[in-house]
Amino acid sequence: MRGLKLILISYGTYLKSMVEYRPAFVMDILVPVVIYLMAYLGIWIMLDKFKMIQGWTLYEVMLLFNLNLFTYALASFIFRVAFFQEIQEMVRMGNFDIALVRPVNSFVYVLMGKPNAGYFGQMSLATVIFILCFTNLDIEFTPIKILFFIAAIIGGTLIQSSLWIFSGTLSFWIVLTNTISSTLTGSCREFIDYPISIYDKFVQVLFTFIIPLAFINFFPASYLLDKSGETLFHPAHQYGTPVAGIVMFALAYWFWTIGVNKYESTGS
Amino acid sequence: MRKYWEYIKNSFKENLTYRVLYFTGILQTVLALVVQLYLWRALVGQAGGVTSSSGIITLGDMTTYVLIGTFIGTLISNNVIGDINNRVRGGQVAIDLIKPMNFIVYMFCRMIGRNLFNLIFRLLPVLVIAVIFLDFQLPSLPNLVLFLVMVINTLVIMFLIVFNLSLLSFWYMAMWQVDIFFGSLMELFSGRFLPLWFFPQILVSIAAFMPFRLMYYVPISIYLGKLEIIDCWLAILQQFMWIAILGGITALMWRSAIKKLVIQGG
Repeated sequence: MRGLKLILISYGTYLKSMVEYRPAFVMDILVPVVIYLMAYLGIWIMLDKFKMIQGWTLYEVMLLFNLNLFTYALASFIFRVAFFQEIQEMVRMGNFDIALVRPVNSFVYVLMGKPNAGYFGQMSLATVIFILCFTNLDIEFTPIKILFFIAAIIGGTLIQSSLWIFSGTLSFWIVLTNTISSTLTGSCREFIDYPISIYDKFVQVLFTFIIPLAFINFFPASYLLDKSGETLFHPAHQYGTPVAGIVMFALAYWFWTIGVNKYESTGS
Repeated sequence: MRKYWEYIKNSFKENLTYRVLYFTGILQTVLALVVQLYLWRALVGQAGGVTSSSGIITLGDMTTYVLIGTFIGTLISNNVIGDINNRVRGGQVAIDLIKPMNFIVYMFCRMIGRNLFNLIFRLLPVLVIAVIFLDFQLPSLPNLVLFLVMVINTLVIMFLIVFNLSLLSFWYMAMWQVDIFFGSLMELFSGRFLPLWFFPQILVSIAAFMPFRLMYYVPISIYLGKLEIIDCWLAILQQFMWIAILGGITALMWRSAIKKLVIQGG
């Protein structure tokens, strides 16, 4: 809890420093919004022509894409700078020593003061798209569904965060981890931009049990939209997102502690 | 001329040094390809074909479309924007300008070296896998020749665009924004992932004002034999027109960029 408080205080300081350079700050937020608007335009063109992807209509596919985007943006806001850029530099240069002698957990230390405000843009855009989807889709929002939606967002964010942590922690063994990160958080994540029922069994199993990305959007969306019997898997998977999130995050944190124990600094 | 050949060779060898980068690069290409192939199977597969502004499009057409799109994308991928941005930020560009060489041609040689590397080490392995496992169409000989001419022009257009964009780094700091904005604009309007066959009319008209569709959509259409011969020649003519326009812009931008250049410590 103390760690969380420290991280939040450091974010306050960071934000103050960001608004000092207002034009740069605005562009950091605006450019990603424009880029994702083009991605949504692409989805619209596709669904305008084909009407459905494997039984999923325009707003349903947008909901899938958006669950992916929102949780990715939230996870990246917290973890991207630290685990994509900083850790590999710190380990290579031997600066990670500093994290070990600070009077806080090294995991908390590397996260302090390193949010990425650019993701505010994606988060705001995703919020608007959520509203757009929910007004156009016929979902009956019972209190249980609302609670489930929030749990799914948290679970999805934990899964996305664990991808950053896993790939960043590899820095303790490999010099350059950037491209491994971008394979996991970029290329692999492209698979869940569309309903995973379009893939063969092998791919579905891979993204449900080994790299459980399907829990970020496909399973929670299936529950919210009352789609059942679409996949190979038991309907109970629809509720699995929070569990998958906690398990993935715990595993990632465990992997991090192994990496830290392995760290030997540079020099003699 | 000889020195420029050496620049191409140097850039080629530079790309050989980063092995993790190389393997993850291939992996990312293959993963993106797999997603596209499944997606089109789901969209076009069952119906046996979809009507479009270019007649019936079958799953075989789309498989080949996605593959050729990946080939072009892999071949022309480059790091000119990042490279020039680093040179401007670090002041290296001052030394580049003193050297007895043409900076623009030098950067072009560096891109061609990278493209040759892409062709041999990144494209051929994927091509071999694709030919073995996938339903991959081959074009008629005249279409193949026209296609290759368009791809070579595409390389030149690509260079002129990214070179012009990278000159912005003389004025603007956050070049990554320019880079990703250009990337996603090209992705949508080139028809790389979604052929312009399937676009609504208004967006086709908008795409006509950009050079991007001449880099993916039109060459691939020619490869698939979806265009009349006369339209092929017209498309190549349009490419030369764009090369002239972009070349003109380069000349103007280059002159004002050099004037603007200030090196730290000078």
